[in-house]
Amino acid sequence: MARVTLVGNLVQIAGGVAEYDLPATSVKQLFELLTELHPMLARHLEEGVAVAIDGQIYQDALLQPIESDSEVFLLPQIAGGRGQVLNYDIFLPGASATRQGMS
Amino acid sequence: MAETNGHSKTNGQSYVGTRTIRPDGVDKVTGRARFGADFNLAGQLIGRVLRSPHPHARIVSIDTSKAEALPGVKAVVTRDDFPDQSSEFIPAGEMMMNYKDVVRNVMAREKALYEGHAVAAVAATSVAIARRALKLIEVKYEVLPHVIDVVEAMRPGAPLLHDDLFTVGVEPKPEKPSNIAKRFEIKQGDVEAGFKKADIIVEREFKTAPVHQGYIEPHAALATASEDGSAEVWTTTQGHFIVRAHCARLLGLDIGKVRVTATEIGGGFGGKTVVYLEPLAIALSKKAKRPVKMVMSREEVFKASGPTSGATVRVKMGATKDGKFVAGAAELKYQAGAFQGSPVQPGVMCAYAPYDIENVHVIGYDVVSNRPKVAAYRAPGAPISEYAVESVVDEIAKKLRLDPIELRMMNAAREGTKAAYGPKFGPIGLEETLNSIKKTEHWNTPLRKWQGRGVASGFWFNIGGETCASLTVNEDGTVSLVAGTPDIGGLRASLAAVAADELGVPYDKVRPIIGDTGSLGFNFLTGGSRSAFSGSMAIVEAAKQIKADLCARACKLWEAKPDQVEWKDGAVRPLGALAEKAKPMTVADFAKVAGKTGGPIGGVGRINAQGAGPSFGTHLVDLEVDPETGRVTILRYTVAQDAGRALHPAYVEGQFQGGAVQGIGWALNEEYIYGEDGKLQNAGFLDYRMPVASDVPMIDAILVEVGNPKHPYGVRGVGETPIVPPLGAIANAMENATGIRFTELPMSPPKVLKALKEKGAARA
Repeated sequence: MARVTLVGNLVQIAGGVAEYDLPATSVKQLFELLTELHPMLARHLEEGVAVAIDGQIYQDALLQPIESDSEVFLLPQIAGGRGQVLNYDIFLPGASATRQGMS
Repeated sequence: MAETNGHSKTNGQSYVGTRTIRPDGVDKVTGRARFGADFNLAGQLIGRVLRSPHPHARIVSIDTSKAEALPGVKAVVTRDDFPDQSSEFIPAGEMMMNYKDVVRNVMAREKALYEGHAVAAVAATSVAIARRALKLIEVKYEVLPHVIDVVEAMRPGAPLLHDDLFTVGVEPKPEKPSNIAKRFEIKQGDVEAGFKKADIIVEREFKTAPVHQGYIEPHAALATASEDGSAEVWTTTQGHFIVRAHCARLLGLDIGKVRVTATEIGGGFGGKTVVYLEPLAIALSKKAKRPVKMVMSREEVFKASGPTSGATVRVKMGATKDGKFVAGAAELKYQAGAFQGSPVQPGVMCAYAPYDIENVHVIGYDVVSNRPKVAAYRAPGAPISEYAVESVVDEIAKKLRLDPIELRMMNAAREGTKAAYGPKFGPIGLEETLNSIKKTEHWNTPLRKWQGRGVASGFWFNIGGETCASLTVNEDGTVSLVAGTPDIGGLRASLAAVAADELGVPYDKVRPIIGDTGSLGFNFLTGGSRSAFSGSMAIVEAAKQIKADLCARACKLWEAKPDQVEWKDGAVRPLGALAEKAKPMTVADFAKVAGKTGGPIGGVGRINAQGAGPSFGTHLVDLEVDPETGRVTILRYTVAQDAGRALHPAYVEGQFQGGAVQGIGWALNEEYIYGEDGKLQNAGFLDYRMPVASDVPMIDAILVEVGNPKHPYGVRGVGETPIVPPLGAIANAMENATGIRFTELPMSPPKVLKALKEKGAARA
């Protein structure tokens, strides 16, 4: 399982838990698993985070593979974006329901 | 020499890594190049903006009737012409933004939040009429108390800019609004335990002033809107696709109906990644049914476009007596301007990035105050936090009587080091830059009294991102290259060299241009030191498509199977027995028969570039302090930076030199000066002192090339890192020259003289 570490304020949003062992095989799957664990993370994943996989930082790369022994960090996005909010349900089906009432 | 990851020249002549002539050079030296204000359309009107004279005021009413009645005035727009936007944070550019704030920044709604905030705009048949019209607009303000300083703005009871701004990142969630938009922190290890292991601890507070990007070309836009809902814009920008997205959103237009052309650009440095004039020009054009041209004055650029943050930074570092860093803590308070979104987050992440430290804790605050909203500026946030850390590192070296380069070397991040912000670094070149500096003759040259030498290192992440570029082989075998990121620092020359090498055509037969938003797929902007990195990857991809197509055409011409041909040394070559009867065909050969072998030849690279390699640099500076006036003269300056591989060494050196000069200005002279009335007192180049050519020596540039394994040529971004080390290097040199640790930027003559007098060292 990939060793996943949240960095910065994501830790607080995830209830103070920074480290996880998750069976994610892609960034998309990683986001899905994290959203299941902590629905409040959904909006932050939507707004954009960078994902470092084995030392290499990826941005806006939902399909990037993650190996079972990968070391993964979720960081604030350094830069990027198209000036539009992502269509959330495309990559995290059903998660828009969890957005209601978020701060 | 860096690894080229399998890509280098094919026909004996390699252009990558050489100092080719810039394709845009002739037009620029002859004055033919067209910058933002050079574009005109028949029947165009002149647009002008009415700006708030108050730093903080509620807008009670706006009466435009008298202005609208003035002959020659064709349109007036105010807040009522821009639909309100919902609160959504969007990654756009090098910082996060919220459209609710963007719509309020381009045109004030409930309140004017800084002096210079746009309140209305007019389009008229002449400049004189437009100016007269502005005077006829009656705005009723309710003036409110203002706050300028970041620390003042954080105090309870400070004038509140937004009554719906509640600090994010604190628990429990605040019940009352404040000017603190966000608290952000990173933690690694146990910082308290780390300090317990320290033999020496140094703690200091630093202040930096907000500084403007200082691009020579002011913001300018020309727009024409049609009755069918389409619009066309010519603007000086770092990202025309982003301009298109913002304008479409703010004005409710379809993205596909907005076409934006990026003009030649006279500097941006991050400051042209946002919109100011473009939505106003479209809105005015829509109303007037004529094209509208708008150009900011220099005063408007200073008062109404984004500088970078000023900040207060507290740094505490611990080291063992042999110089090993064991703990680093910091607290960063960054001004965001009138709307949230300072670069404090990257500031937090970069602060300790150059060093291998087990225990790190950095907290940052994003704070609003009555200043123009900050915009990105070269390595946003990093120069501020790294200046503070590099100053403390130097102080540790002094206290431990260690060579400052050796101390940095001992603690330098290397391949495999866990960065303070989390992941491990891949191959990086910090150590190499330190070694390069140490080996220079500069490092060993003796200094005289009142002269000082300083060294500092710096880091920036670099990014990739969405990029689209095309190559088309023309009928005569020349190649048209279209890129979608504005060329600020030599992109066209760099990409042309890559295309020439990939296709085996002469460099001067490749003509690169920057295409408009209708000619390519989405391109993220020029920023994050990404355009040459990502653009060259897209060109390699486009060339790959062309080579595959030409091999397929050769197979058909030669009635051969795919394994009987190969692309090698700039041509499709027959293999084996086929080589007896067929001759290799170059791009030019195929161009002649393109129509008869399948039609036009071309390729389009469409990528989301990943694998940007981080960049490190080390700067060395000598300066002299005049004890009579406090004036500081830069005597000598050397930059060493890891470029991965320099596609065009002269342009890369130019980035090193330009970043160093901007850092010199930040360190020594530049600052926004506000009066008690909350108004900017130095909104012009006479009073806002930027370095000019005569202020700086020739800056020596050392290219370090530790190849980036994720790029086909080994490239790393180079544009931003060079502005990071100068602040610390100059402060360290000042300490060596005067014995005074300056903790407040800029180190301008009045401040230096005052400090010398306090020390009893000034010469009467």
